[in-house]
Amino acid sequence: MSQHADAIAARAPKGPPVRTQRLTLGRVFTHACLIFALLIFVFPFYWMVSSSLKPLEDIYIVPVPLWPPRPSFSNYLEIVGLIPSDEIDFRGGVSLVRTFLNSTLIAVINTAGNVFLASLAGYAFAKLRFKGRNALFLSMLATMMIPNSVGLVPNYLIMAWLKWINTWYPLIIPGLATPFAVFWMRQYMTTVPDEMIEAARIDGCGPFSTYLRVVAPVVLPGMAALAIFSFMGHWNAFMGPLIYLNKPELYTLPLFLAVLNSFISGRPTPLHLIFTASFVSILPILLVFLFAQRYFIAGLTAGSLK
Amino acid sequence: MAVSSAPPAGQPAYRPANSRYYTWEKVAPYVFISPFFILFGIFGAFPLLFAVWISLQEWKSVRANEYVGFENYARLFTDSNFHIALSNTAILGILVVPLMVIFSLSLANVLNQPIRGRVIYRTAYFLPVVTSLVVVGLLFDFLLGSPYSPLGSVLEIFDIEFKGLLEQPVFIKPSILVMILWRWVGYNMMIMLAGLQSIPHELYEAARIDGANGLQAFIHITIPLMRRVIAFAAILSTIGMFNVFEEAYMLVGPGGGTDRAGLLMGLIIYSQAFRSFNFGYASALAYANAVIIIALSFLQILASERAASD
Repeated sequence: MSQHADAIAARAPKGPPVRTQRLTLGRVFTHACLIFALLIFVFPFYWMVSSSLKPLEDIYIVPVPLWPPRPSFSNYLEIVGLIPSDEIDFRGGVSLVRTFLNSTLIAVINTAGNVFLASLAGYAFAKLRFKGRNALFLSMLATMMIPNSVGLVPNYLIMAWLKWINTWYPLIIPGLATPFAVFWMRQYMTTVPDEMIEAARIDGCGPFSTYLRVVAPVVLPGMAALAIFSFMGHWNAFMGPLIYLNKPELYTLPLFLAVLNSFISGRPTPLHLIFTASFVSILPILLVFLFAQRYFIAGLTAGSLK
Repeated sequence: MAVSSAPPAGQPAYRPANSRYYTWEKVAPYVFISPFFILFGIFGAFPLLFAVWISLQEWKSVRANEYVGFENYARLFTDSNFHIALSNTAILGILVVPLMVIFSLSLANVLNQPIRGRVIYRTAYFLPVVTSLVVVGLLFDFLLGSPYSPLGSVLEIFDIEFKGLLEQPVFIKPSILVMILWRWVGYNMMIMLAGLQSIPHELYEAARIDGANGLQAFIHITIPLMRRVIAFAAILSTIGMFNVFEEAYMLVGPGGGTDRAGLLMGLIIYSQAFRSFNFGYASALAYANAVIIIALSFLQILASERAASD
């Protein structure tokens, strides 16, 4: 300890003088620009939260007050069904609680399946030798270039033949193992040293226990990034629910939001509920993002890996 | 798994002699990839081929169809909706891609320096990226489209009357542009930051010693070394533009809003398929879109390679 401190003390005078951050004009300008950009990025969120605390009439006050004149949590009670709500009854009668649980269930099953099945396949592609490995992997990569919209109609017809319309199967089954996830896990698995896998085999581990006990713990950060990426994708998915679901009790959060926003003649758009539900719907992702930024950024910018 | 006897000659010492085990080791890779490949085959690969067949049909309902050859593709040349969607998407792409690169590279370049509070800035700029596209669409629908928007209150200070922009066709594309930039600049900034961090710091030191100022270093070191990363971000934005759906659906609706000024490729494919139930034509549109996307990606890769070799 003291030895370390001595070393630092001995080094300090020799090094270059520490440059303090002086307040130059350039630096002030830089920060002004950064803060301006920050306001642009953050303001819509602030405004969404502040609107969620306003009764509907107060959303129509012009000029818009920066802080709600009569803040209350009644919108939150209304959106979860604790206060009776005509607007919710007119739009299918399900509350945010139900749709929130629906979204959670779908996203959790998908994420668990994707992390397990894609890492298993990724392990095989990265570390096991078998006939057809490269051909299969390349064929998978080739289809990844084709945008999802091409599969839209055929998938709908397949789901219709399977009698899966108005069920969650179309939202759950195809997402249990996706090409991107396999690709991502494979790239991560290639960083695991071969010696480790050899050692596990010498110790008598079979292929599956090598995967489970040796490889999986090493690639846990990669799995975490994939889990976040996958969860977020399903949590926010809109096109699938829009196409496959029209029973209110099956709605997911984004579909619930879109239905709240839909026009019904003679009824006002329930903006107070829309902002409240929007905020609640992004809150889980936002919290995970703030606490696990590293994995988030790794997962979302994964494509930029060389 | 017990290893009982010594392995027979000719086999590596560590491989157990148990023949059942030996078979499992050969079969295991196929077992590991099969759940993925079964799902991928049914819901990923097969639909791509199936879509070709569908695009050659005239679909009357989920079951009834009639072979019409290339009629759906011929229709692409006469359908004004498709022409509008394609030109809208192209116009927006031409604006979005360079603006996205400029904004994200500038922010990344500033945040790559030791600036106080840069973690806070970075987090804030990335917030829209983790927000659902439906919420983004709803927020901008109100912010840009409603007379009760705070934007109106700001403009009122300058005596500009504001009644919402989304009813007027001229403002629809700029609104989509602003929304897309807001949602994606943070994402591109992270890609740029990863690229910038791979540039050796000594290069900047050397430039500084040679008397180059910040701007010169940026032009002569950062830009050339970032060429591939910039091209990558530009390609991603281009692809993204041709796939925009959710946020535009919330902002202007599946029809593209007044005068179809916001009709995009993603919207027209959806509305042909699930509003008009023209499954055949929707699939032809989707394939046309895919061909355009792949062609543009190749062109951009070619252009960036050529620029790099000059």
